[in-house]
Amino acid sequence: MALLTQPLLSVDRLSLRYGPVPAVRSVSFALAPGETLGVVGESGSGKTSLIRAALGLVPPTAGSLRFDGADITGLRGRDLKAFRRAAQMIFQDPAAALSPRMKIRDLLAEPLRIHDVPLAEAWPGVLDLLRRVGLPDGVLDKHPHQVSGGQARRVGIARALVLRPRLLVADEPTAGLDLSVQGDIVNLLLDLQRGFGLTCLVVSHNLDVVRAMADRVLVLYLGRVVEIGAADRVLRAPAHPYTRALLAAVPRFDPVNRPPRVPPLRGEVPSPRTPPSGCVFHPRCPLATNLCGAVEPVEQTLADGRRVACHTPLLTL
Amino acid sequence: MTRPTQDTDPLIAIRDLSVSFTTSAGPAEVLRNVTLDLGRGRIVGLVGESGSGKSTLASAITRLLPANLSRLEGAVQYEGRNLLAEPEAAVAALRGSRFAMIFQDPMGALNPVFRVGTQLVDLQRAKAPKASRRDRMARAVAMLTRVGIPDAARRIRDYPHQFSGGMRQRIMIAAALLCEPDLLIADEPTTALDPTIEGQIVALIDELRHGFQGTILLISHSLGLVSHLCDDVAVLYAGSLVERGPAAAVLGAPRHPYTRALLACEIGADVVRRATLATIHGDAPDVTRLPLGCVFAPRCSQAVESCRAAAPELRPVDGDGGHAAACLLV
Amino acid sequence: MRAVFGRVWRQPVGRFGLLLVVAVLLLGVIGPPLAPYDPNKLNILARFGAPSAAHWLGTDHLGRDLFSRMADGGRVALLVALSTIAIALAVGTLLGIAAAYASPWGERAILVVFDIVSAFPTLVFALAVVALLGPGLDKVILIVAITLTPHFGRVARAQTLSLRNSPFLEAERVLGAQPWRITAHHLVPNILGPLVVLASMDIPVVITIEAGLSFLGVGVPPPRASWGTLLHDGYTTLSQSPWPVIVAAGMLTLATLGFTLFGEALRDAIDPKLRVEP
Repeated sequence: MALLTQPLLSVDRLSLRYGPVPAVRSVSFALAPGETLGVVGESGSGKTSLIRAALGLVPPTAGSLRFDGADITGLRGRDLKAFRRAAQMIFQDPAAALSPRMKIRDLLAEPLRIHDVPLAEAWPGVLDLLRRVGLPDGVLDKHPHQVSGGQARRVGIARALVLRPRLLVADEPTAGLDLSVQGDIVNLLLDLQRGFGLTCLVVSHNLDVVRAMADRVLVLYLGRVVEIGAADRVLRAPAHPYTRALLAAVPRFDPVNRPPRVPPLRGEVPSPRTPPSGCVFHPRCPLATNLCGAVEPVEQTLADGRRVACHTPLLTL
Repeated sequence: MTRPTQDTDPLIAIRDLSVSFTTSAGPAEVLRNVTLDLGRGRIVGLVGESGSGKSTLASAITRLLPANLSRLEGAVQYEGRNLLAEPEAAVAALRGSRFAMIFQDPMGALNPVFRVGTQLVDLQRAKAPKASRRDRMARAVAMLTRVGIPDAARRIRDYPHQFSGGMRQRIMIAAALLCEPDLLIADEPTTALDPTIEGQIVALIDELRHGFQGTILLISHSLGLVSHLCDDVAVLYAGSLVERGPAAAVLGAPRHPYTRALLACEIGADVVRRATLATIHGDAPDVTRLPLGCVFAPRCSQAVESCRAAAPELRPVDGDGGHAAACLLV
Repeated sequence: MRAVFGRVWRQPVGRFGLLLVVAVLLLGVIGPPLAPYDPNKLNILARFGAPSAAHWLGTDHLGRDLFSRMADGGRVALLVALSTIAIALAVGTLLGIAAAYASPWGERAILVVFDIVSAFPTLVFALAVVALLGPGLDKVILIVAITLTPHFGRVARAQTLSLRNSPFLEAERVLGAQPWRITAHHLVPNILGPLVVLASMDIPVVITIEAGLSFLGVGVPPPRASWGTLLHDGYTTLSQSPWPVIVAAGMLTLATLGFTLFGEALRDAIDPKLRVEP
């Protein structure tokens, strides 16, 4: 499936280490404008490091990152600022992401001030945004600790969109949300994406939310790409044993029949300092062979366009 | 082992339990007239969102309520006594010998400065005061092996921080089982765990329940977990019990509008990508200012005038199958 | 701000401290201009006078009016306290923030400087400065400011370290804010709380240090009045009149007591607020 338009974000063999500890290992993917990529993985998968690198917060140790065709590693000054206008983030802990001593009004004005956008002209747009995310004007004069968690979350979303970015990274957008309000945030993000033509990168450990939002899914394990492809395909018919284990792990709500439980994945995520030889998943993989323990698998592209890093993928298509 | 039917008398009978706390905004009615049976040998799921009062219910049974308690009424019947009326010493004696708890944060429940072995041996003192230390250690090692800790004899000498999150949760389960409790309360036992580790713990609980004679009270906001493990389910909303009964009935054919609305919010495997998801509009009520009538009425699409007049009683919806909902329209 | 002062007022201890503080401030600010006499005016004939209508608190061994000298001493005490603390706070905070963000070597260098300055005995340092540069009010301010800087520096560093990885700072970075903007607009306002409390609790400490240095003769040089020199002079002539000692010691006690109580009430008033805020 070739991309007809230039990808908005193009990540090529990105690697990142914190000192001696590798966090991300040779990850490649591309984000087409307007699409949503769900990034899925457990602790130690490197998903947080990946998005921080994608936003230029941490320089990669190897590989390249291109935003709209231009290399963003090593950006400085005005170019960096221009990139920041175009790529924004909403944080996992929304209240902690708001400067505690500033009023909401000032927090929303910050992006304008930082980028020298005249406040008077842009402010009506900000108020409109406030309404679109479902916040009353009254919050403007409050401090972050005076608004509810849900409102803080919406403030964070509004703030990220003040400068009309093109890329929005959402780090666990529904973390800590009750089931009955989870849909509100997802619906809001989908609506804003449509309205502002956003390209989204959604990191979530909640596979249901990823299922509802993502066009494509990237599955990470110990910093490596394990599987990446169309969400419909990957989440319904996974090709990698880890993806299958992840999907089967959390009991699904099915009151009528209790489906037979697949045996759970054994073992724990290994330490990134001492990754296993060959395929890093092999110690836990129910289908591991000798080859898996010896040789690291190369990504193969399956007939439906997805990529899998496995010697014995579940589907060969 | 077959699970006993509902006809035998319950292990714990909660009757009209009401709990309020003092807050700067006035008294917060965290639980209102909750009536619920925890059947012997059953796994009872307590489902609710934040602010529903589910953790407070567990705390009320074990009488581990915070200092700003302003009201504790009703009864928690256990072995013919009302635990709420018993002296503190009597209830304290039950904890760790008849009642055991597993918490969401395993690190918080284990003392970081003592070896795991020391803690597991220590807690057996209540149940088996005459047993020798060696016997208790042997039981601890056996239990650790049973819950899936590899190389238990060696690892029992480690400190809590030397274990991963999933391992610590297993240690907590081992600790709870060593008490041989009548009631095991598990408060969000898998919420803080990674999905694949959660799968392991769920499989462990699944496996252990067959050997465990007691009752399990599983508190969770995860409908998937509850539907998988539980025999009975009770649904709490803003401190009121809105529906209860056998899991298949409550989760398969819910009768209360809140239960129905909540279940509708679950994102199914066949969800259409980018379609609008179901939510329950409005906000959970402020427990310092609860409405007069049904607590869910302000958000209920089917509410009528009489719903707002008085809080509805729990009424059976299926003869005496045990399924009941607190709704006038049922 | 108003809420904080309200909380201080409501505590009886805080109220008492606040009243004393206001009294001392008034004394130091409007006392000297309103004093009946020039504090340095000698009047040997009236020496060792007891309190009277002419001299409200009596006179010292050179006949100078004690009330006027006390007021002037108050002004000196406040001047030294406020200026040294302001300097130490500013310099200490800058160094503390720098240490928190510096490379390990840079941080270590700054901390070593802090350690050396803290370890050095204040009195010896004062003697050295006075020996090299001569006595003077400005030298006192220099000495005490340097001595106090590590105090603020360490707290500023600790506060900065605890906030360094906060999501809200990273959020500002993602929005495109430059480091100076993040530091000035977002970091500093959030570390200021404990530093302000520290500053208010250091005021009585500085007053005592200044009085001590002046008492030993390495502080404010005569004839300028300082509670410390008043105390020294009165102490050497104690047998002839107790009043200079009573006045000087009494003022020192009231001032340090007032500022200490106020500082503690302020800390209590700010602390619960700090606990509530993220």
